[in-house]
Amino acid sequence: MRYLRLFIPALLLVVMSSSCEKDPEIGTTTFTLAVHPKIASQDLVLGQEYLDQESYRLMPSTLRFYVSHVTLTSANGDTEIRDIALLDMEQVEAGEPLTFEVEVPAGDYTGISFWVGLDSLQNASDPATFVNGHPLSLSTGTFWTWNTGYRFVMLEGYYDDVQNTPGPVSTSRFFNYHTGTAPLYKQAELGAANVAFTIAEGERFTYNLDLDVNKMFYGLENIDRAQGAVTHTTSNYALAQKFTENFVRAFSLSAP
Amino acid sequence: MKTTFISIILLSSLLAISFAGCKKDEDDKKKDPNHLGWVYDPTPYTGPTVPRNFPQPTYAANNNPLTEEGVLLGRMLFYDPILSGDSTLACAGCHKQENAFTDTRTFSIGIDGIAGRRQSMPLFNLMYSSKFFWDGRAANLAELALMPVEDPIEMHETWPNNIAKLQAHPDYPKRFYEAFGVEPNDLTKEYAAKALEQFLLSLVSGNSKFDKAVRGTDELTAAEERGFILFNDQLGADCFHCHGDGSANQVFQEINAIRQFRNNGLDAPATPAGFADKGFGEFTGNINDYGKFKVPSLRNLKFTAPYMHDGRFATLEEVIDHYSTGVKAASPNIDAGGMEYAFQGGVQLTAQEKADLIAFLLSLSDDDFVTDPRFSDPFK
Repeated sequence: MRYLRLFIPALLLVVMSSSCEKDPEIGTTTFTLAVHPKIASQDLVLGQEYLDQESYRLMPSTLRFYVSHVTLTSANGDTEIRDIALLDMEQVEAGEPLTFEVEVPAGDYTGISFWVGLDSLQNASDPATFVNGHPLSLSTGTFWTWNTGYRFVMLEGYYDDVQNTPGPVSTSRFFNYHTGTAPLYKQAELGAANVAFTIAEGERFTYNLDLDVNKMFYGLENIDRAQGAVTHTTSNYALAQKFTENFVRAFSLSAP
Repeated sequence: MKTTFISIILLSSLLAISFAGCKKDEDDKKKDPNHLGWVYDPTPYTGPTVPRNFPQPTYAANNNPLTEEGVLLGRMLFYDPILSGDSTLACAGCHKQENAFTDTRTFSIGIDGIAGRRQSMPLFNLMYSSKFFWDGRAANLAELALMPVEDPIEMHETWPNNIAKLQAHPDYPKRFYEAFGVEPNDLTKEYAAKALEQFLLSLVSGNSKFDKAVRGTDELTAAEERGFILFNDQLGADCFHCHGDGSANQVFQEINAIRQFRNNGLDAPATPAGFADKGFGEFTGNINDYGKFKVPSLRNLKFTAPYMHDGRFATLEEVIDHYSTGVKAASPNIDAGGMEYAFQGGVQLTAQEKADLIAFLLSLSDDDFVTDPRFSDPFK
């Protein structure tokens, strides 16, 4: 009977704690992919002006993109993340990285890979079937139409087409790159940014990447904004393709 | 042994007391504070809800579920001039049902004979907005509902005066009690705002010809079909970037909270500070928002002329001409997301395309909505 006295409060405690947030599974840990938007070494803040690497003034106003099929590679078998992330600068405080947080097994990994955009199945989703706030819901403003699916990458802003202007930037000259459709679903070309890492059990691990807006314009092929400032993919496919090839190569390992 | 029983009894008593407390509160609320036969037991609202071809609403109702009593009270307040300074002007004076709750006048006139500076906004399908008015200054519908009352060029009254008028009224105290369980002495403007919020959220318009065609009970004409294709074609009229794509978003208004304010190239002052009306920027104080205004719904255009925030276009033809060839590319803060063809003045439609597009847009007008007795003046 004496135990009963202890049992009831204990039972209550168990019932109460069972309603709390679910703890991670044993042996897993929290992995965060953190993307730091930059212009060269400067943190990118939407609505602020920068000089790009060729000294043209620009002011990005939107940057959002999908990351899917994040895979942590390992000698013991790869861990592929099924969730999709929409990394959107409008959803974070200025200077904060764009993050995608998942639970993965602790252990030694040989590297990481991910795709920019959505695979054909994901891209054929009906946004109305997702609750608001879900990366594939209508509330994100990324759904295009039923025949093109979602916008994979959206970069918008304003620019000057004369070098070294004193500012403020002319907000009547805008750039706008909206990419989508199956051929522009590309794996990120991480190169030297793909490195081995170890996640200790019970410890959080963050993989930090920089994403440089300069590289989106001065990459595999340069994009002269004065000649190609706007594409919604089908309206100027060649430009969308050029932008996509640059975008997937714009990641680098963050400085420690 | 003894302490065990004490523990059990104590725990049971605590549980019993907490349950009894809940029940007692409920019972007390249902009681009649003035012994006048009042009952607080509201009925969940059963009026028009989200049409099945609409997406999930994005509006976060602030702990204010719609009830029959709350919606009716809001409707009464909406149509009752009692809330204005001289009891001559109701909300409905500038938001007329036959015009989808907007005003045919370019600028509405307040009780002191002073005209406003922007077109009265239509009121329907508000469950997809997150900031209200052309400049976004109201964060929700309860805030929105309070503002015109105190605006000196609109209803020009104070809320303390209005609360006193409502408390002294022969009917409203009972209705507030039945809707919210609030006793007359505790009545505040927040309860009036809640009632108006409920009525405004009840204004659902989703029975246009287009909706009926989607549901298979009507058919679009060939011209309307062609207009719909143009609407969704970014090499055509390219409307869908800002007004819903017509497939998943058949509300035909911008749902994403951040993209609800845009500059569509109406004016081109030399600098952002040169905008006569700074719109969204007036509210945010951010120079990069100067000249942006709320993207309106394209439903019910048959009833809502004149168009734009300043009512500058009297007809849909003028609106389409603007987007076809009249866009001012040099407009500061011109929308970088949707005005793809600004560099050439617009989307360059032919006369036939313009006619088709207008035919489609008019198919989004809901004749039932503007005559629905559930939204009409309850005093008539």
